[in-house]
Amino acid sequence: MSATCDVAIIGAGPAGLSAADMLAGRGVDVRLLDENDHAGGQLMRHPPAGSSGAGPYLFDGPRRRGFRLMARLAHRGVAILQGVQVLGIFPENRLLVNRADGRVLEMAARCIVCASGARERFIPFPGWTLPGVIAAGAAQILLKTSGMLPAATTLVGGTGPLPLLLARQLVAHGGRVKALLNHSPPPAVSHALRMLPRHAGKLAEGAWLTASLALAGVPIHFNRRIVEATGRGRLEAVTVARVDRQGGVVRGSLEKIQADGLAVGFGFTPNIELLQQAGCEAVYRADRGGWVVRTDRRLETSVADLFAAGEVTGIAGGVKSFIEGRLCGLSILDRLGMAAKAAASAAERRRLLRQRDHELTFGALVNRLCRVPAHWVAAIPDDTLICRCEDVRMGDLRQRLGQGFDTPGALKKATRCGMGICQGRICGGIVADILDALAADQALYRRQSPSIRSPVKPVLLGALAAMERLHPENPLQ
Amino acid sequence: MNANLRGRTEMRGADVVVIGGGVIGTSVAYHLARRKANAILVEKGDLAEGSSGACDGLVFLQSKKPGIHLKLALESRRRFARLAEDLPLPIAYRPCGGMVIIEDEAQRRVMTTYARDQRSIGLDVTLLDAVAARELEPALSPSIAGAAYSAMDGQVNPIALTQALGLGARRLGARIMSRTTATGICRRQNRVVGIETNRGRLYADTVVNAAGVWAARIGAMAGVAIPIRPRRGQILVTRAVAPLISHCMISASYITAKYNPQLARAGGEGISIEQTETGNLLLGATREFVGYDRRTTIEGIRRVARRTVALLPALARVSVIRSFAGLRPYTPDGLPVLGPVQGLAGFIMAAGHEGDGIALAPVTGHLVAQLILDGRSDIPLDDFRLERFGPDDFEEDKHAGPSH
Amino acid sequence: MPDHRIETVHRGEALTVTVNGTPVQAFRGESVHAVLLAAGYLSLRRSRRLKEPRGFFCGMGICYECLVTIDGRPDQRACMRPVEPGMEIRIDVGDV
Repeated sequence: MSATCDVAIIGAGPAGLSAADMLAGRGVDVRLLDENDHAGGQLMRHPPAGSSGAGPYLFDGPRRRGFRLMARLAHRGVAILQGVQVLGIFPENRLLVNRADGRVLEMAARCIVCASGARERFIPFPGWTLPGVIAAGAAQILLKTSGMLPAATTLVGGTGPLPLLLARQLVAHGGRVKALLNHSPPPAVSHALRMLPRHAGKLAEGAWLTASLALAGVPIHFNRRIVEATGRGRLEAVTVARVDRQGGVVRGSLEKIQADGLAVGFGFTPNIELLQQAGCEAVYRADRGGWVVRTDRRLETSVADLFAAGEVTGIAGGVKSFIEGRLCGLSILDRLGMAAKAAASAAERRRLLRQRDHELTFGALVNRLCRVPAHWVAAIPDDTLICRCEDVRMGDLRQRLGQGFDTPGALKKATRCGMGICQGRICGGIVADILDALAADQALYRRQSPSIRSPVKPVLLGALAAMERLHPENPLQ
Repeated sequence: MNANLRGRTEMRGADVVVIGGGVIGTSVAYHLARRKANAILVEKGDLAEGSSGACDGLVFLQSKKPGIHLKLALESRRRFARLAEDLPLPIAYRPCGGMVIIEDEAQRRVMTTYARDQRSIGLDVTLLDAVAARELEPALSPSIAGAAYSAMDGQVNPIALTQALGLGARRLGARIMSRTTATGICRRQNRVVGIETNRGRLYADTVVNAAGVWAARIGAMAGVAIPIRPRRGQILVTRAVAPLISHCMISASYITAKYNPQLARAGGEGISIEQTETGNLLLGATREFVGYDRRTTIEGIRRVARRTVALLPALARVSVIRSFAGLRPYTPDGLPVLGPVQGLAGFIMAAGHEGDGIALAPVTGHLVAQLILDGRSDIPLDDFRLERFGPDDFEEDKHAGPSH
Repeated sequence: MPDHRIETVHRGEALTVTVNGTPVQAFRGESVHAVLLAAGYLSLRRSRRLKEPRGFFCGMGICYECLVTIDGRPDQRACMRPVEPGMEIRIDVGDV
């Protein structure tokens, strides 16, 4: 079918908005498709107009940049279509799209940018499925969008910088944080030295957050593991232990802490399902948060005219997403034959790539901080749920592994882990970590990328049956 | 397990090598292992990574051609209950009964004759009018014309079945080698002596070609032409819901398209609907010759959605959570290729079951094992021999496709 | 019941929704899962096989744990929808 528009951008977070900004106002027909109710992705989550929200925010540079970008786009009349899910990308850059009103449409673009962002990683523990146990990002979203605290008494734990930031945000808005439970050891001096001088600002941020929490009287612990979350039908207490260098529980260190909220975060991993479904090559990169989409320096994937920007190319934060959005924009202008003078755009491209490399380097440090050693995963008790959708336990996985089902695909088939409604978004990374820790042929998983098919999000069968083809004369409303 | 060393320490071997870790290969390996035969199964990926892991679980007798095909299926069905008891993993076999949905009068005429022929072979099947059909399945559309019902139809979990057969075979002494690709068939004059794989050579007197959609490629390694081609079937999976139907069902067009050569070449369709034990509905399927392409398509998704909603209107409000496409090993006459091959002693065919692999796996494993070990089989396999095909059946396969 | 709403936040227009028929106060811009949390509904449904209680988890539409019925439409992710005046929310804690 002939193209409905020039460029379809999937995801109106920093990367998608930045790409749109680059393309807008040049006679390029750009459509931004976003699943959420409001644009901005996760970074620019905000309260509605007329509400002050739980601000002001610290270290808010990227967020403010993002809001300026959104304002600019609005001013130039770039339409962002909210509540729209892309169900699949098909040959010749056709997209199957689920609109907010439930109608499914087929459309086509000359070029596509996929900027579908990232999601959190988890390390399960007994009781992690209890109501009241939430992702660290979920607590942030409650704060930013709805101006609410997750609980009366919250424990925050995990790895990486997000739990630290969250704990400070909760305290700043009157929340009671009983403790910050870092699963990792305290950051080594060598680690800090490695961050100077290129990332001095980020180091200072971390120090400020830590000091601020300490001043507020929140205990900050390291080398902690959440042993169990307990309660009758909802979270009531969390048992925590100190771990030694080998990850073994230190005798006598078990402590039961009363809390009605537990927010955990263990880093991020890219949302590349749509790109995989489209047939793009993916590559495993631990320094970039796991499976990422493979792109060239123009940010084109292995599928022609399909570009990727933001966290999907590697977890490295908001600034990289803005940069890559611009890079995609440049590449697409080039592809459409609308590039600015060659020398100017080549210079800007070089500048952007340098900045991108800088951000990727810092991102690698953070991703390493977030990583959980294999022996923790190996220590997950048998009764712990791994697949939340299908209620599959660690013991089930261990048993099947012992029977010789030792690849992600074989385990999935043997246990149904990953076959539920979330299609493995929560448990897939965990299963990969489990195989890493327990299975003999580890190299295999780094080569294997699961096959993903459309629809990548649930959609009513009736809507699929009634799907319509969008013609160029009928613009996507 | 220790292999038959044949005097050379670096070579391994067995009495039988089975190529293919789908439901047919694992069934053959299992039945061989039960008889204490020394068997190795090689599978290029994981068990059920191919067709057996991308299909529905219908154990349907009504869709089997009256004649030797149905006879085979009846015997296979008899074996399911026993297998379910013997295998080391639960396979969720349910003899729940099945329905062929008749959508118009033309289909009814075809089905009346068809059902009579099937009854003469021994299938229990009754024709129902629209009222009776909807009494049995209230969720059926009021627009249908009726149904053919058989209490002998049922369903199983095909992935669990394959994995259970594989695990069962291993526990009985067979060697199951995953991630092992057959790269050549070793022959000495007119007999097989073993196979080459990416992990070394395996010596065996007998090689079973249970490679499904790849059977022609294996045949080519042995210099044997085999008219088995992949035919893609796209299937939609819904989320788990409360029981909507209690029988598995196919549309009558499944049968008319399957056996009408013209319709078969054009693609036709094979609509089937099954609700699994977990509550998910499997809705299928297209029938397309696209080489080894396992992607699902906009048109395929749309077609399956439209046709299944037409049969069960309540499905419109159920969410689809993903789709998949399975390649079915198609043969020109819709019957599998079973048994020895002329001119190459020790090379045994067990492939080409198309959409009947799951249903026929128990009896195929049993008969092929018998053939190998006893030189005869309870049901003669002459109608399934490779030599039944004529020169017209061997098309130039333009879609040879990549090796995986 | 803890007071989840942060005092210093200046909220949008006040509105009313119902949860299983009971009126609940909310404010423009709050998401359904936040309103449910503030009203004390932490458990939203039961898991498919083990029938254990579940509430929202990821907060961003990935985990499909926070499914509720909104205005008659089942399986809506509560974290992805802002409340609207008169919205009818049904929670089925005995659900599959």
